[in-house]
Parts: sequence; structure tokens; C-alpha cells
Amino acid sequence: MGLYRTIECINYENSKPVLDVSIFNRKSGWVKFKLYIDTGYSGFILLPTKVYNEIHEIELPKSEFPIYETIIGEVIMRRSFALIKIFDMEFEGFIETPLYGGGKYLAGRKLLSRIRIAMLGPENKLCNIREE
Amino acid sequence: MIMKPAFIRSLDEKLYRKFKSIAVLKGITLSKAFDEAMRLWIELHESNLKSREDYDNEYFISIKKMLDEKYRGKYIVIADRKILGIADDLRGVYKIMDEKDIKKCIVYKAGFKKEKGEWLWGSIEL
Repeated sequence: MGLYRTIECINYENSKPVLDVSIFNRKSGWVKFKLYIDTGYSGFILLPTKVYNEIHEIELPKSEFPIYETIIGEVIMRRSFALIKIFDMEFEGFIETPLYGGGKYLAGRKLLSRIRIAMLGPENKLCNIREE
Repeated sequence: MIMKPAFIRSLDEKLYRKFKSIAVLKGITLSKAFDEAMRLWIELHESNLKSREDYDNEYFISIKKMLDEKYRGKYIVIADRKILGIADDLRGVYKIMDEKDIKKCIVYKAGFKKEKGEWLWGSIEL
């Protein structure tokens, strides 16, 4: 591990760490969302169904929708490929929403594994970091 | 919401008389009886209707094996039961969609296994 410098920080919202994420849609361009960090969600980005319906363009075939274990049993998720921008990074990922409606604004573990961030608890900030 | 009067041509007279008499016997207006009949008819048929996505998914299942063998790692763009194009990345997928002038489609990344995930308790509080 080397030394890391914080580059850009986002203030927590209601004491919860959040990420500013932009998702590409051909009609609307880059659409910005605030997502709560959730390490209990193993996926990439979870969105409320209404928002997902507006922004998704390239969905996986139904038979390939992933199944998630939840406290109420198995839930099938709709999943769409998406171009995602966080801080100055752009990459390919997924957006998801439950097949039968619901959903929240969450950043899951798959997304967290792609970015370098640090949570500064006492400062209530989530920061983009870069190795020196 | 109450709609404007609708004129329906060529109804079966015998069927209509029977329909009307049952409405009278039940003590409901003809419009209420029509609403109920339409609701029942929709319930009966709606679940059997397949969406465009259902047809595309059926087509996808029929060619999945071939796609996995031939195009591993590529994005396959499918709409209207056809392969519209094959792309190396999402920008390529958008390009195909723009060229074919389609808003939404299904896309499969060949060779990738269906995933299982978890969504645990912590989210409830967020």
C-alpha cells in the first residue's frame, strides 16, 4: 500500500456516505444521481423502478436476469448495461431494479470494487483518492 | 374517468339483448355492465399477451448456445427477433442502435454466466 491523496470529496447525506454517479442515456445525456453506499448489496447500481424505466436502454434478456438473496427470499432483478461516470472515471457497468417494482438509490459492492474511495467518518466526507 | 359516448357497430343483437336483460335483473346500468364485462375480458386475455421483449427473449434462448460459442465477450444486440449487430463495447452497441433507429433493445454479452447476488438487511435503513 502506498500513500494516497484525496482528490475530490462529497459530503455525507444524513450521516450516510453517498456517491455522485452519472449514467449515460442517448436521449438525456449524462444523468446524475446520488447513491447511498451499501456493502450489503452485491450488485453495481440499484435504482427505483420508475427511474430505471426512464433511463435504461440496453437490457439483458429476461432469462439472464440475476437472482438476489434477500431477507424476504429470492428476488429477480432486471439488469441493463450502462455507461457510468464517477469522479473522472468512465466505465461499463450495470443498473438494476427489482422485476416486480421497488428499488432504491444504492451503490453496491461491484461498483465499489471499481473505484478508489476513502470514507472520512469524522469529517462526514467520501473522497476520491489517488496513489502518490 | 367517464368517457364520451361510444358508438359500437354490428353487435350481435341476441347477445346484446341477453346482456342488457341481465344488467336490468342485476339492477345496474348498461354502462356499469359494460365496464364489468370489459374488465373480465381484459383479465382473461391480458396475461396471455406476450410483449416484444418476450418474443425477443424466446429468440435469444434459441440462439444462446451459438452466441456463446461464436461470439464470446462480444455484445449481441437483439430486437424484433433479429440480431441487429455485434459490438465490442457499449459505445458500439449505442452506435448500432442509432444506425437502426431503435430506442430499446436486449443485449447479451456472450459467454457470461447468469449471476446470483445478495441484497442484505443494511439497505432497509438507507
